[in-house]
Amino acid sequence: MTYNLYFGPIHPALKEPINFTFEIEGERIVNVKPNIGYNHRGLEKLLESKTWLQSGFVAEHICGICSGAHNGCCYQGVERIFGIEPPRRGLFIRTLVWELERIHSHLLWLGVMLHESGFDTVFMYCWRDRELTMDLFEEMSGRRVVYSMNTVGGVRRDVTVSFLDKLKKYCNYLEERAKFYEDLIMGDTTILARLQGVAPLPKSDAASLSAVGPVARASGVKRDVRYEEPYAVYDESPFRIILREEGDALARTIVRIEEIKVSIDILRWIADNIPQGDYKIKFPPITKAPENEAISRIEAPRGELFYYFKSDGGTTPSRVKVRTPTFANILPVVKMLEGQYIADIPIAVASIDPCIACCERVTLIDRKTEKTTIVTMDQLRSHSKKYYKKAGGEKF
Amino acid sequence: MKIWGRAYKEAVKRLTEKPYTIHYPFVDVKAFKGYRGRISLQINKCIGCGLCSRVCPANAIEMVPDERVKPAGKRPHFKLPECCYCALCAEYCPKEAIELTTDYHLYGFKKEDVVAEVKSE
Amino acid sequence: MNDEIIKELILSIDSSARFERDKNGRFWIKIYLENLKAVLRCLKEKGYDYISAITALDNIKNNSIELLYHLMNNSPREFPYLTISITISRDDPKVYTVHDILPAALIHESEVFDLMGVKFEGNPLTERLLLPGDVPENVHPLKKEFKDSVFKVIKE
Repeated sequence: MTYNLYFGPIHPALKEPINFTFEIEGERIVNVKPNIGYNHRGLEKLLESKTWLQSGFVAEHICGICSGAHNGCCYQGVERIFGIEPPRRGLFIRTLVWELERIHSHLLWLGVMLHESGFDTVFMYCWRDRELTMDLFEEMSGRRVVYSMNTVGGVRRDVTVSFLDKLKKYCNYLEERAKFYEDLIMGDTTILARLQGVAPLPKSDAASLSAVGPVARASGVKRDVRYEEPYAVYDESPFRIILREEGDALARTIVRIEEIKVSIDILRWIADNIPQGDYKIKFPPITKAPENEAISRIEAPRGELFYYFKSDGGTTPSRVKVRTPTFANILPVVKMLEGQYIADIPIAVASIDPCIACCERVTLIDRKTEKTTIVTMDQLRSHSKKYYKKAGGEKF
Repeated sequence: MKIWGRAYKEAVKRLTEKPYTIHYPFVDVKAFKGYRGRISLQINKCIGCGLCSRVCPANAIEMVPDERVKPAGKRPHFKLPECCYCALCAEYCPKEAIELTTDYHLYGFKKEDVVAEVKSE
Repeated sequence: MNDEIIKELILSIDSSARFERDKNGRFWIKIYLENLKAVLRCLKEKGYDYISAITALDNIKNNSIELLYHLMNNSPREFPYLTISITISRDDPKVYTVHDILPAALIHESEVFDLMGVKFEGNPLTERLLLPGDVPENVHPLKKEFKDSVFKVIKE
């Protein structure tokens, strides 16, 4: 006899709204049905009415944590449509922004994961270390969260020598802290009891369900865009791929901490080897593109980010398709939760690093008839609350 | 036993340090140079070409009539609640009349109270 | 890269396939609708078992909808990244599902149905994934004719 348990979209264990329906027998989960769409803003349709230069500024508002990844991937795709190559110094600065963002995203995730396990002190420690990264971003780009450093043909601002010295000092500090966190997690019996053996994903399932990012690498599948088709300056940098075999929540934690160490090595290499020269190419703000289609893929902190552009020869794109890594990881979550206890649900959902705001950015909400293109969250939120109350959470 | 040793060492170390939090409204925190905050327009440099309103991704700039600008007779009006602070208007202004300052205290009781600064020297 | 092996494999199933390789290293293949499952099964034996996304393009001029399947191999440094494209009619868009060959296509096909209106026969998820449940039946926002009218529909 199975019961239905409704989880979300408003729940203290979740950071963003998502709805799950669990069928349970006793304490074990038998079946899971996810239901997304509470954060839907219609950005794929909005991008069809913005020019090529403005498209990056809309794309970076898809997600707050990985906004540098969306910005860079969008402009990399636009450069492939036009057929232009940014200069070397611009590529180095772009890679610097991507790697620093990976560090800040993994530190945020580590804090949230330990907070779900009940360890609030280390949550505060991790977010304190992350504040130093935000100070570096503010000095380099002007804002703390949505940095918009890229443009078509390079980057918008230069970095100074004093900034690179501060970056190297921060790398030395962070290396000790990463070692401290790893010793803490592997040496504490309570954390190990909550993470080891929880929500396992075997290797065959991870390969066939197309898992991406650290979720796939923790199950032994060698999948990383920086290894498969190197872009920007990754083929010359000291990048190495991290793999683990077990596939449970502890393996995903260790993979992310090791990736912080790899990012520190890459940042040190960039600070020592950055060449002199130009950092961008002149590009007119409103221009027509040749008829072409292009694909751009990068490794965001959560997995593979995929952009597809199609141009019909106008000043705006004719179709943009965005596939974010959390969207591709929904089916592995459904698979890894079967047979687990109810108390493990927050740990399992948090271990894939969900960025639900990234998941739903497809099509139109061109709302008011005065053609303002700013989409406000208030009416969407009240609509979703009203819908949830009416439907009682039951959808499938 | 090693775990107890580490916990005690950590507790003693943090007892003797200052806390990390800053009591913000009583202590003012200055932003870094180059921060993208409130928009400020120098009206004697503006020529009224309208490039800033064409390039804005959020459609937050509209041209309003103003007789201080010659010969076009109009100047940009910035709707700050809709702005995304990307600084494209400052980058593409041909006379460098727009600047984003380090003022981040953008508050008010109504949306119309948050305005851009217009300087005339 | 082993382009020739892939070309011969596909030509043996569908003799009218057209190939194109662009400057960035992508490999684009156009085939007919009937040969889709055979081609995907054959490519899966060669190692193509990872699907990135399914894109739907709306062509008002030719009155057709084009579907693109983006695939990658297990050993990506030897085999190229493929894009397979098929064309279906716009008035009654229907195609069969491929989730028995590639299980991850389940959620991508559900998104394409929600936003472009293409029906996938055999896909068990029949309800709307992203839009709320009270949007009327034939409202599919990514089609080119929808500009301002959608939110008025939702408000009623």
